[in-house]
Amino acid sequence: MAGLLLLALVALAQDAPGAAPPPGAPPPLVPLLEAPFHSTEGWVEERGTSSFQSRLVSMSRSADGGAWLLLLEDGTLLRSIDGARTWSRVLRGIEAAELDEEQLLLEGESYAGEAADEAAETSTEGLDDSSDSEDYAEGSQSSEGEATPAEAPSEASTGGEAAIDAQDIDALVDRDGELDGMGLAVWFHPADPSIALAGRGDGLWRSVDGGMHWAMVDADASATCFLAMPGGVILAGTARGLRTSPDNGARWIDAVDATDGARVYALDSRWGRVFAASDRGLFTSEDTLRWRRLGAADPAYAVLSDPGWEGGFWVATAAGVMRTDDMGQSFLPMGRQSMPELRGLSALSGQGHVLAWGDDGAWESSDGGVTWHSLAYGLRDPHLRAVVVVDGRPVAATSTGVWRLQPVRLGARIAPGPVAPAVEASAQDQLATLVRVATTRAGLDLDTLHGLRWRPFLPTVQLAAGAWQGLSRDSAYLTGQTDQDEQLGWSFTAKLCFGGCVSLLGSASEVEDDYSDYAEAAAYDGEESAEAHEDATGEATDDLYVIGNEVYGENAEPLAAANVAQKVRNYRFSVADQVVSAWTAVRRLQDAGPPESLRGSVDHMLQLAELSARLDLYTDGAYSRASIPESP
Amino acid sequence: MILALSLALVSSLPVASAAEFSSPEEVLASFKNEPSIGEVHAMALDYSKTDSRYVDAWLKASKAAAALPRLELAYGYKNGFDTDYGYYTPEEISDDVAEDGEVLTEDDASAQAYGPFETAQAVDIDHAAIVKARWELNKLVMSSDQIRMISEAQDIVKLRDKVLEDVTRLYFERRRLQVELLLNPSGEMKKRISDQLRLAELTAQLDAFTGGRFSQALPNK
Repeated sequence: MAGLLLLALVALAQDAPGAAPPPGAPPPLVPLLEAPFHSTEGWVEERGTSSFQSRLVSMSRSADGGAWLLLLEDGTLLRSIDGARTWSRVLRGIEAAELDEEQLLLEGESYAGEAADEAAETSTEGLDDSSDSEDYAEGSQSSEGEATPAEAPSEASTGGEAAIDAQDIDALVDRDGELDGMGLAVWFHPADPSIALAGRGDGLWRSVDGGMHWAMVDADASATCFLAMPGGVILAGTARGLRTSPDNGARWIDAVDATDGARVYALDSRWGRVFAASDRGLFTSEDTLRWRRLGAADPAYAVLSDPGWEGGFWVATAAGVMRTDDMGQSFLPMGRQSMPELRGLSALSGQGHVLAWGDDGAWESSDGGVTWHSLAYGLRDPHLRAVVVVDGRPVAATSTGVWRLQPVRLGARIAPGPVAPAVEASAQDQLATLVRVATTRAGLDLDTLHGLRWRPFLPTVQLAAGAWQGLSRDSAYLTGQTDQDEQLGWSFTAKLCFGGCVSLLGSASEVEDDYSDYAEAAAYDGEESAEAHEDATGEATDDLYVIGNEVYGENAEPLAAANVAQKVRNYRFSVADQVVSAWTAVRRLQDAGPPESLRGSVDHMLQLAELSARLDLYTDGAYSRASIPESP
Repeated sequence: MILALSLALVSSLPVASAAEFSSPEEVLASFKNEPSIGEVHAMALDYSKTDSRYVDAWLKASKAAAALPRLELAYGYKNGFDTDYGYYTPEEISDDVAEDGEVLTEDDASAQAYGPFETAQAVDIDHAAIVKARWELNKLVMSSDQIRMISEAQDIVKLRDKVLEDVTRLYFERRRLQVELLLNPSGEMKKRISDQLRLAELTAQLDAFTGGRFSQALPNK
């Protein structure tokens, strides 16, 4: 702690990241912090980044700043060459098995058939066959017990195969239990921007052209973190210890050491030592071969060496941030706030300026960790997965998007909503109109589904008309008498049926009763079969059908409508978020105005044009049609 | 081969510098002959067949289908011919004949007994026509078909948004790269080759979304 008191007074030395200085050399000077971020800045989401198909888990920036890499939870790798603004996919995700709808339907029908057979057996044989009945009952109970009522039928009818497929996919992605995003990492070599590594659920991937093209180099293990060492050596933390590459990631070796079996979350090097934060505690080594534990065996999720104090570093633990000033001989808890679920620590600009981040947002300390302040203004998604520091300022990847810190006015902090200046009423009307248009496009309108409540009040109407003509002539030879009978008639019947209509419409119409003898002549096998089916079910149905991945039976329209409505509603929220983000970004750009430089002005115009195009695509062109200030 | 292609690409670059442009409008005017983002959107929509008019038409069709009745027409024709035969004992024949006033001998009666005798004929001709119409008016407001259609329509909207998002992203990434190449023509050769390859890749990706129409709409194509 004595070192901490000197931090604000003395500018101390700082090492270059990832490189160990000669032992005994004085630390380089580190500038003092001018002002902490939490008092003047808020997070602003980078436009367009919230439309990723999967959650973000890791982000990295090349040392020269020319390229960024983003790893999604499904293994998709994205690359940006414009400062993490727009992204292009450079590596496909781990493919999820496509759900075979036809197979699902067949399974559903098979299940329904078995259930019907079983019900018939039960009705005819009583409860003698108790074992089968119990199996069916258990299946039903477990489905209903585990799922919401809306989901229960589909789980019951889809059976286990689809669930197993999903589990297999999850297991593939979640190999080594890495689904929470702490087991997937993408990384640029700090000394060679052309080399990049990515640890995915299916192994370790490497790029030698700055992340444009990738090849798998190690299918035996993935990686959770990386650290460059001198001489082309790279350390990789995995879910089962450390692996070493002697040739910049082309080959990997798993040496037996004390970290074996430990899930390594973070690596750092300083003062000729390497530190590894793992679920078995903090390890250190001077040669990357022999490791020893520092402190207790409690999980450590991140380690960050203090460039201004030799032997000082911070450690993120389940209990919060810990600090040592004596190379791990003793640890002291930092701050009085509860900072749960920390994932990482990042050094920001200025001496003692540290960012602690995790599933509960970001915390900033400008005094070496003695006090912490929440850095949450504007951050709608608190699940920080990665932080990249650019010129001393953090760029954060949350589970849904990329966020940057930008200055905000103090007045704006009071009002909720975007960081942009107060929005006038007409502009708010425009935004509301755009959101309404975007969320009520054909296919997203929920009014049709809401019409389901009127369905019981509308009848099924059946009209039947028949006409017949008959001629019969009987001649008796013995008596010499001939009788002739002519019949001519017609009939009309109309029926209205409300509700299920099982009994009413299932019976033959009166018209058919009246001339049933004649109707027999018109009967044919196909009609008889169809009517027999109709009699049994009350109305012609198509039995089972699939919506999404769910199988529904007859009379399940309310259930199907509820699930579809939920799906539509979720997407509407996503669309509304996209529209608001794009619209807010337009306002922000318009308020900021173009930069003075030609290049900046061109970029400004292109950004406005791109945002306008995005608003148009969500509003079917309504944004451009409206007289909103148009980008060139 | 790749090197040769790259060199050819680089040699075909327009040579300009920032000093030649006085405003951002002039810079972007360099690409005025290329399709606008709206035109590329239209190309992608047409190629992917995800235009909202398709969704509208499908939704209306699924709803209008319930307004039409389920119609059944049946016609039946029966032509029956019936002949009756009888068997008689000699006594019954004698009695019958006696009633008619004609007296047969016992031998004649025995010879005509037992039959079979054709006693009667009947002809039966029937025509029947049945018309049944059934409207399920409750399906006008909702049916499983409509629910399925709404679900499919939502998937199509998602697909359309995704396609247009990707097209927009690719279009402007390509445009930024074009601007970069236009304003910084004297960069390192390796980087220029890499940028040109990236430009070709982005063009190809836009072609993939538009069925090649983007390239066709570019000048000098």
